[in-house]
Amino acid sequence: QSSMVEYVSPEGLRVDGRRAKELRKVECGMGIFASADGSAFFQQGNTLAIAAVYGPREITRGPSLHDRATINCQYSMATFSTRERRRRTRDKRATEISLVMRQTFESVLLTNLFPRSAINIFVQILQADGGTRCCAINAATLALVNAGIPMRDMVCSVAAGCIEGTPLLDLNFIEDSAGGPDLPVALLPKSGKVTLLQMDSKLSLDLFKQVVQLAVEGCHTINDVMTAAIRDQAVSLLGARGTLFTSAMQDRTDEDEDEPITSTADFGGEDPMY
Amino acid sequence: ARQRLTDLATGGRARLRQEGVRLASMTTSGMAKISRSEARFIEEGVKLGTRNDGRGRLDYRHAVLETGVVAQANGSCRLRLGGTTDVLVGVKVEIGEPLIDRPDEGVLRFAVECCPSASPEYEGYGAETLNIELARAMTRLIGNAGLNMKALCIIPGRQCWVVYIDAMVMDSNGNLFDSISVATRAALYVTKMPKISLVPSEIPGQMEIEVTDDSEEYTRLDVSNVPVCVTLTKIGQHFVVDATLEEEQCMGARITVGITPKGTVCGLQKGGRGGLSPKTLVGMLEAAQLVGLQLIKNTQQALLLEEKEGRPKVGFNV
Repeated sequence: QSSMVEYVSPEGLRVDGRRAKELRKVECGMGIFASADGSAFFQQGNTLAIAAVYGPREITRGPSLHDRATINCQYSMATFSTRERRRRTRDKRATEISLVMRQTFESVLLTNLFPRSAINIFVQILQADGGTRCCAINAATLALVNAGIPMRDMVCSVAAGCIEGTPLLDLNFIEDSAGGPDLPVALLPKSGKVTLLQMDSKLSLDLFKQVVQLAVEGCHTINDVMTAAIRDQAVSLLGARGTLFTSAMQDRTDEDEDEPITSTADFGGEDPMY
Repeated sequence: ARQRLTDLATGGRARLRQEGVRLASMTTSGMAKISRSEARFIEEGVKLGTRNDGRGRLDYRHAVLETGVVAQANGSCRLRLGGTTDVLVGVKVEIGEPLIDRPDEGVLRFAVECCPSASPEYEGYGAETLNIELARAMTRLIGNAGLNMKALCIIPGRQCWVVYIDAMVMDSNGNLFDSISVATRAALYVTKMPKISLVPSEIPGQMEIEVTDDSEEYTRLDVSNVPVCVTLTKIGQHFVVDATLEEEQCMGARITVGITPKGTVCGLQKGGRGGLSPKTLVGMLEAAQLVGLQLIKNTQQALLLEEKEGRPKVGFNV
């Protein structure tokens, strides 16, 4: 196959300098919006997704399920997210991704705890550079954790593919448009179950096993990053509330001994509110 | 039971008003409700010159702006007002055809999208009316007077720059007009347009556009005339600037004024229920002028500081 772009160089470097099994740089954070019950952003390389969660809330219009919560998911892309300006923010592709995300989260959220209510998940893609639905799922997971909605497990997602016989992890837009197979995979890390699996183009069975295995490993790495981010946020919240000595306080030197500790630290004597 | 249902359907609104709950109008963001006591508290406070967060009547909330947030756009700016109103504006420029009745000018297209992250009612087509109202107001206030449209012409009658300004409201706590206008001004200020040159084409007598490959070469837009909007909200007998969502729930009328950097008024939009006497109107316009000029000055200072200091991008890492 002759191609103008060399997707994997002879030294094993891809178009953006990564190795075949390397993820893009991940940045994530929670609690970015004040109005939403839970919110988060997730950035993989140049793909940036923000998610907001409202719920569980009472359903005022429309049918409700008597024994569990209804999950409502909306995925849309900003008009300036792609290189060419998009005309519409929501099209058939967005509807399909919304449906796929809803199915993914329906298997993970403990919806039977909230009958007759609705959990709304809204995801916006602000920058699109390949792997947008995976980034959206990761952002939505963090937003759900930020909202405090009980889940069986985290949902971690990454897309893997295969170009000229080499399995590649976390495709960017250039690699995605190469015409090779693109496999977005979403995984529940604790149980190891796959909740989302899609593929386009064609792939031989042994290569398929390699690519899926690569994607699953990638999901576990993403899980580590997300768990670390959640833990950091929890520690900083507890520190702000005064129920936890943060490391900043432990680093006080002898000179600080005369200064009074200004935070009202409690050693477990506070009554939790719930 | 059936009688009660019909009562709610037809006379519901009137009954709820009697019970002292005010329903929000669609032109303000969200359907948050406040009680009559809360509304009265806000009105009395405004009469004394104090608002719920301690501001004076003509004080803005603390605003944080950052440009270059979106990598794929030619220019972008994110503005956070008071930590709760969050607006992201992206500017993309393309080469297209000019309008038939303005062959020697560029084209400006403004679109606003209120995301469901601001309120669950904005899901699907829920925010359609709000989006259109904001987009039309922005086009009226900024579109015609602000940019030098003749400078955006490339080949008269055939090719021109089309500037797409897309504003996204990600989180809302009132005062969307002003936030969008300030973020738009900042985004236009940092917009980089690829440098082009006209070369003779193969067809004799016609010119072709050649876009430079060098990403370091670009042209900037002249924003010295781009206005900002100042929204004055009438609460009781006084008006306030930069109303929060709960203040918008108890407003009488609202007027959005476009103020240019020279201090002239370039557009007006009245919203809300209730009327304004002409005398109050003149007072409001004078106040808007003062506030608008200060707003423009502060924005310019912030942009120059950002350019000079070149600190690393924060993005969404709050």
